[in-house]
Amino acid sequence: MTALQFIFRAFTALVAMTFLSGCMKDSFPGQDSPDVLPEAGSGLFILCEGNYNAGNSSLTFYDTEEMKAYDNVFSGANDGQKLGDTGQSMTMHGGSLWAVVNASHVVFAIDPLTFREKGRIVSSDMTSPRFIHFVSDSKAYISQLYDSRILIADPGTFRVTGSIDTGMEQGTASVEQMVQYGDYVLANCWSYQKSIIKIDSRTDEIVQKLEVGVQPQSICLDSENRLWVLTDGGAWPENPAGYEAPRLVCVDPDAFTVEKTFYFALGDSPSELQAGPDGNELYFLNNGKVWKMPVSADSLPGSPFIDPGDGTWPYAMTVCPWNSDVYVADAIDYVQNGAVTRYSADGKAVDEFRTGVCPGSFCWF
Amino acid sequence: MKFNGILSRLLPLCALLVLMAATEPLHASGSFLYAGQEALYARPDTSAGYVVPDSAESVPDSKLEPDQKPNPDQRPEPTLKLKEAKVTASRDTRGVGSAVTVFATPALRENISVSLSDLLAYNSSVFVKQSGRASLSTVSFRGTSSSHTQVLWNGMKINSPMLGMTDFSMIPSFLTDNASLLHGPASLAEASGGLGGAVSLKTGARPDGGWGLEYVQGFGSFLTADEYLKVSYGGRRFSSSTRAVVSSSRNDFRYVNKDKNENVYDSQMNIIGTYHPVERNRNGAWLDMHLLQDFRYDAGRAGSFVLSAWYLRSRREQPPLTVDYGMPADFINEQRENTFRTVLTWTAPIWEKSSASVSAGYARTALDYDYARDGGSGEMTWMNKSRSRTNTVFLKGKYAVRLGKQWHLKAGLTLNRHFVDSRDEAKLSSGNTDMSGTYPGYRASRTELSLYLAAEWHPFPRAGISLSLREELYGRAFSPVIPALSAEYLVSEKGNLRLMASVCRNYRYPTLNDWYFRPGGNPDLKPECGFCYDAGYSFSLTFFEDRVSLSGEGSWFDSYIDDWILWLPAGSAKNFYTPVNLKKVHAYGVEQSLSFGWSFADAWTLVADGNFTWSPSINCGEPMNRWDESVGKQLVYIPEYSSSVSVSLSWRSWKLLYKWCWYSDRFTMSSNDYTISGFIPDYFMSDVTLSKNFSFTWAGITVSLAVKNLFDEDYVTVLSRPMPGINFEAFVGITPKFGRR
Repeated sequence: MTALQFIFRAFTALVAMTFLSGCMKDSFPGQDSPDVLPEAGSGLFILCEGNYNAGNSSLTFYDTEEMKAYDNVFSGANDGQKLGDTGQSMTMHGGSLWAVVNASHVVFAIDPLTFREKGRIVSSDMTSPRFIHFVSDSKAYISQLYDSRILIADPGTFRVTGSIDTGMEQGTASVEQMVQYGDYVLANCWSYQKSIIKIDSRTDEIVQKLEVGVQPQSICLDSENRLWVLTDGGAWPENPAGYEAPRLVCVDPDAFTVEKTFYFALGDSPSELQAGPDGNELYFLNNGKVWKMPVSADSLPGSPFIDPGDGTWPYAMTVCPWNSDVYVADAIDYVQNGAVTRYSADGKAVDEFRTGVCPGSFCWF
Repeated sequence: MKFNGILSRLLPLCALLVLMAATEPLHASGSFLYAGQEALYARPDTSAGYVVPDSAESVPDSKLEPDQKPNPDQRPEPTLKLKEAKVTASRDTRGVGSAVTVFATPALRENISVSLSDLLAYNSSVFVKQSGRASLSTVSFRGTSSSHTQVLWNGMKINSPMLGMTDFSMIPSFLTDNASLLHGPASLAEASGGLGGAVSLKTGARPDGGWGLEYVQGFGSFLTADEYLKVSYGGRRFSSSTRAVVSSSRNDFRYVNKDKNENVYDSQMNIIGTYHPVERNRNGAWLDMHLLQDFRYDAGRAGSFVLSAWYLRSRREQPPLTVDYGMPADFINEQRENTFRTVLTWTAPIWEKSSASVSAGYARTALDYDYARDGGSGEMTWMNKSRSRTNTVFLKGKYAVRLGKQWHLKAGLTLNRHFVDSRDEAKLSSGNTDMSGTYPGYRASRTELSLYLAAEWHPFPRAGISLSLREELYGRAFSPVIPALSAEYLVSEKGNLRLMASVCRNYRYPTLNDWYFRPGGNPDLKPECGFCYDAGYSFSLTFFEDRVSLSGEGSWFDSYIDDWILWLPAGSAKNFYTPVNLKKVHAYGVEQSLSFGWSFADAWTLVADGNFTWSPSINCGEPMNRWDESVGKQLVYIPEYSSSVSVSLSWRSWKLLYKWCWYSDRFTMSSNDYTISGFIPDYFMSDVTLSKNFSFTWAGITVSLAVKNLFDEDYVTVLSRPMPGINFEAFVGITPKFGRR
């Protein structure tokens, strides 16, 4: 064989390799459309954060009547489009499920009946979105971490139309949850902050600010329209914002003053404060357990309402607005599908199901 | 898919067979030309030392006497007159019975443009996890994590004392003269903590005599430019080598983003259509500069002194994820590194049968990470302004002595002292008195002292047994004794067939971040403890008057690692992570490598190397709770199977190099679920390089063209990190001869 013959044969082999290698697989398991038709009044959406910088956030749907969960419904219904990086929170408004995806800098509007995307709010102003709150059908506030501005958006056009300057320093600024109180929006400022703020939704201006303790983590209104604020106390001793015993603070939203304060033990890690359906009870997580107390209580509860035990460490929680069932999410090792245990209103486990990675937020439908 | 997938996996093997079938039978005549067939996988005790020809010159016809002039009809055999060559060698006592892979200088220069991570991905059995072009690349052995790989540069450990890992994308192969992979127990000869293994990098090799200069300029896709310069001088006693590397790229490749849909709206803002957008890799540019200086002085009986200093300056932008919808007016997301490392080593024979060496070194790294976005106000919102400064001083002494023909003893003492200052300046507030002047972060220092004793016994020439012990001090805690026992037996001298086995216990101490990082550092962490054993073989054969060579190594390994450290969110507070001793891992499997060389048809040379690794790395700890599905499953991001093949075909001054590697599916979830984000699909990568050398009287010139991702594979190596399709880079290298021919 001559050298030329050899070159020819080698070239033929290379061409064959090129052709065959072009026929590689291009499909991913888990992209099928979800096989469920949700009905209002029996649906629970679970937003799974995924892992920061991994882009593996996902949406799980749980049918409370059928007691069946469907994972990855957003990707399945949207041709494999991913929900994004670090899903933070959800709100139902105007027939849409609004999902705030923090590190993807986007707020998706999702049809809760089909899981298909209806639109999205993206903006050059969006630095680190955390929660969305609807003041009206044409105005929503989007709170942000690090950024000193609360964004104002028009849900109809999916456009950011303005912002509210909180006056906080960039980098350590933080506005989290928002609740409506008449014409005002009340919000807690969590990371490296100590205050709650009161925004006049008619003028889009902050009108009052109240210091309640280190790092107000979550808020809710009770049946008497009092604002309850749960602080995490800074969570770690060297926190530049301070480190103290966490607090549960009751605030008069009109006078914007503290009515009463309950103190946890130093080192406790309370979170996920929310009111029951009638607003007469408060629920929160602390030290791996679910706690419940009447809003009229004079002290923090002495024993937990639910102790999941068995190595379970609750990561998020919600209370059903229709029957007071309590749903407790466990992120397990944070790199596998999480799990949710459903408890009846009297604290007995009645169901459990799997979700996506790091189930961190709930929304009722 | 599966049929094609199987075909694609078999392609390198098919190609090799086809090439073999296409060539002449083995009895083809021709002299043995084996240039370029450097020993890629030499055992250390056979490769140690080097040949240093003072010079070599051919004798031109004009200088021949008349009666020596050749008959024009009778072509003479070319005559090459060699001057006396000095051969130095020292028995490397690193490894009786140890699995070691050595990359000598020619292998490291095979493709001048690659980083060490690229080289290892295509030419070894280790797993290289790359986040993208010129992005974090880590190396792990035998199913362990990247922090279980100890990396030494001229004997000094260069793993980040904060993170425990090493970014191999920051190590150009051009700046390395010798790289050794110490698999499993073999790593204990250099350092503890290599539960998977260790990588030892060395510079300071003696350059050729006289002045030498080499310059390579590369230009490639995405406005990539690479420059390599080496100036060397080799004298009788003194030598110097200066190397510089500058690499830059806009790195703005285009790709179809299948993680996103682009919506088409009607006037009522209803979505009427979607498609996957074609996007550019934004903010992915880099500029890396390296300067390496080696001085060497050989003082005869007083030994030799080698001073190596390496300065690295890097600025790398961090591209957004494929799922990022942000469109800020301006943003910063970049990492900057300034690192200086230097090591001075004195090595000398002591009396007749012993030797000693002393090294002293210093390393400083300034690592900045900035993440800020301008939300339209013209003012940057800083989310992260991380500043880390690490300083390390290093001292090491070694002594080895041979007692008769049977015993070889050695001892070593290593001291590392780390100083770390780490903080996030984005979290400083000047307006709030409580926060004023304080940052989240920490300052800490730690002393690491390691005493090493080893005895090697050769009861008869074909057999050897080695026992070593390490005792370490980390901070104020002494480690338990770290023992290693290994043995080997030469079964056949003809095929150099050796059998070897080793067993060891090993510890990896928590990093300074693990202990001190604020928030989350856990000073109560225990060291990770590993128990490893392996057994293997190696052989090397030549056939047909040495025109064909075949060599290989294989090993089976098994290790149990307790108290594996993982960072998890600190309870339900959600806003920071903390490390915990959580998992028990059973990592086991097989490594196999084969090298084949064939010289045929006068000037043709075919060299093929292949590696295959099967490395289950299984979480065998207790489940965290009844939900935990991670027990019995493969660890995240560690492939169970991987393989690589490189085939080079040379003809005279031409060379065609084809490289292929494959990683099996890797899970991103500890439960090993096949969901849309639960795994990274397997992928196989092919690169090809064609090069041609031109030899002029005044210089040698090399021209080459490299094609990367030859088959335009659509792939990712890490979730949501895009990778480029087919891309190209051309190189021109010039080596002036300065009077040498």
